[in-house]
Amino acid sequence: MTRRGFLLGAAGAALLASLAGCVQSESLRYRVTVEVDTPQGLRTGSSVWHVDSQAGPAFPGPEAASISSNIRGEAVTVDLPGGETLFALMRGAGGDVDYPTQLVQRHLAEHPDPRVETTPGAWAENRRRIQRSGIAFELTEDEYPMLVRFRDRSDPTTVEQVEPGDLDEAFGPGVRLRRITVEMTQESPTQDIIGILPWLDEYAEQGRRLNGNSGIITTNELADNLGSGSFLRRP
Amino acid sequence: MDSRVFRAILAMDSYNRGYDAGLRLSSTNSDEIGLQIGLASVVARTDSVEGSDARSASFYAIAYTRGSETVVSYRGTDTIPFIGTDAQTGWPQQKRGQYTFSPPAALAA
Repeated sequence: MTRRGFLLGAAGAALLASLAGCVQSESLRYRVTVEVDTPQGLRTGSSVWHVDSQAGPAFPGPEAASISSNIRGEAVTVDLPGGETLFALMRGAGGDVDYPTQLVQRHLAEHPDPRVETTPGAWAENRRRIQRSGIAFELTEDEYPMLVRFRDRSDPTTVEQVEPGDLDEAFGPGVRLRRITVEMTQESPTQDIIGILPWLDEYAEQGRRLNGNSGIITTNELADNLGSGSFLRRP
Repeated sequence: MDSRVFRAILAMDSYNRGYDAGLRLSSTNSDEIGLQIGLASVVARTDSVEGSDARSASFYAIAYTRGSETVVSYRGTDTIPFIGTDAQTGWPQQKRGQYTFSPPAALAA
């Protein structure tokens, strides 16, 4: 190796090391619980969601800075009378696919909690404080996840969105959403939903959405916009 | 508004919609089909769901129509150079002549 080559290699290695050193990462783990009143009594379901986020370096300029996240967990399922199941998805009611990433900090921005002191801009430190605090809170209706049901659970194309205030229309008289809560936890995410929706694995492997399509999206149909990632996210 | 300025706005718009949006424009950062942005409307986009080919490649694209014109805006290359997703799915593929993804053509089809 020439002296020039050696110097270029050393400079490149130093640049990579400094960029890697600029990466900030932090995780957040919380349990989402859905409570539904039914004529047969209260039914509940819960699930742990884990969010790992990394902020890359602003290289070559500040416009290149970004935060990306990996999410693990599964949709909340609530068994209801008559063999029905309510699914609270890992996406917002309006379709936000980053919903699990944003949920906790967005809530605390709108509803500050005196048990958690947050600093604007210090997202990683804020997450550590939130996780350590162990706080629990109730979501407001505009913070709810997307709620869905299947007319036939074996057929993904029969997915239907359910409005939080209209559960009785979807599931029968007397069925009413009581509340949805969030609580910090150290428990691990589960994958029990595979037992309820066994086709999820195949759809995940093939990158298909619930209508069977993959690739470009050109419609707003629910089954064309939901994939297995709204129900189950693995490492 | 000058059409070049408007195209520049749409070029930036792709960074603020879909997954990992740079700015939180609203609670949803909607990219639904038919959404109006000025005189343009969204007609297609790549799949933002985790596990989809586009997201796995750290890629996102959105297409708009404005009158008779179709504008395709896309983003990528936002991971750590040399060691992030770009190294596996981005510019090195182009350098080696191994295109694995042809987003504008796919969207325009």
